[in-house]
Amino acid sequence: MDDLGLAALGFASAALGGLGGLGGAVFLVPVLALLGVPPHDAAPLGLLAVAAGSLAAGGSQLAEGLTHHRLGIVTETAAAAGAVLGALVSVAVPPGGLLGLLAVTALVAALAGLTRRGMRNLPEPMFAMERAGEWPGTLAGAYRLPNGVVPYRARHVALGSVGMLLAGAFAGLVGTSGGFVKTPVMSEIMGVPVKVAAATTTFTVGVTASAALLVFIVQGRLDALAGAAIVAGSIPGGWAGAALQRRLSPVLARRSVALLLAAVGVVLLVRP
Amino acid sequence: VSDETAALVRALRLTGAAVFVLAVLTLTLPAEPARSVALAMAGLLVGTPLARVGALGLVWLRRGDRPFGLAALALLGIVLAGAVAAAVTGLTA
Repeated sequence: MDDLGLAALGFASAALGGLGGLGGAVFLVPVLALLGVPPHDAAPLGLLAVAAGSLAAGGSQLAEGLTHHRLGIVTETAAAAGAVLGALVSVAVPPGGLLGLLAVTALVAALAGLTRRGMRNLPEPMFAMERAGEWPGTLAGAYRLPNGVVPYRARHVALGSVGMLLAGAFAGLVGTSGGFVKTPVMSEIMGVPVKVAAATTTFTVGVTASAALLVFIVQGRLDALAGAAIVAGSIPGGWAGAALQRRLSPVLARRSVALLLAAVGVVLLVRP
Repeated sequence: VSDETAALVRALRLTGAAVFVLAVLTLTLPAEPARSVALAMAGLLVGTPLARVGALGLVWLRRGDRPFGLAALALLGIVLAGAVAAAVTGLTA
């Protein structure tokens, strides 16, 4: 595929991923595989798109006081370990095995998109004067809603870290962000409000991608030119997806994108 | 938003813009300079999250928030160990 084709694919994947809140690489890598790119080569390209998406969205989420750095770094120690192990092991996995894992990844991400609810934390009047953001020295914090301030504290950190380890391992093996696992784990298991979980995941997927990309670079698996073409498309694609998401019903958008992703997963499973 | 957070937000936005410009440049340049620019872009993408983790860890250590400062440094250690393991094993796809 030529550079403009890769840029267009990066744009479409990031727009769809942003629209459905699943991240672009979860589309990009399976579609690259369906187009005949070997999965060992598609994984680093997917992670470059993940890193670009994380960087592009990170500033705004941080400015809104939604990103919890301490929580992100604590859970990321497990995710980065998983990513490094996944990337190291991936060279020993045959292409057919990686394609099967990609199909499973697409189906799991689609399921997460179809069933995600998100923890509904409520504002508490006694915290009305609290500034939005993380509280130093803790895994707690507060964020601001139009009707008040919502305090929160992460719990079940050990169990959540197991989920992060798995998400990281998938990222290292197949090149998707694992964000579709990380956000639900943070929200549903660790009790973190879904907006904070999503913003913190945006930060951590960048670190996961860096950890695995360093391994891929040392292994000589990164095609930087193809990656740059994808990044050139995926950054405006992420903006377009976010803009579309604001105009559409979030539930309808997420479910439509999840169904499309499920179709990609099924095609990957049944292809000869 | 604190001064430090505002500075981090500015840095992230500037780096994001730089990555986008470099990525678009690779589409317009001839092959060899394009490859160098693409490598610079990949370096920025890989290095920025790690620099962010390192900076946060140092700030927390300086302020006495020792457990989280050490967690940040441990995270960087894991990432570095992965690259070293890849070099030592010498496996390629």
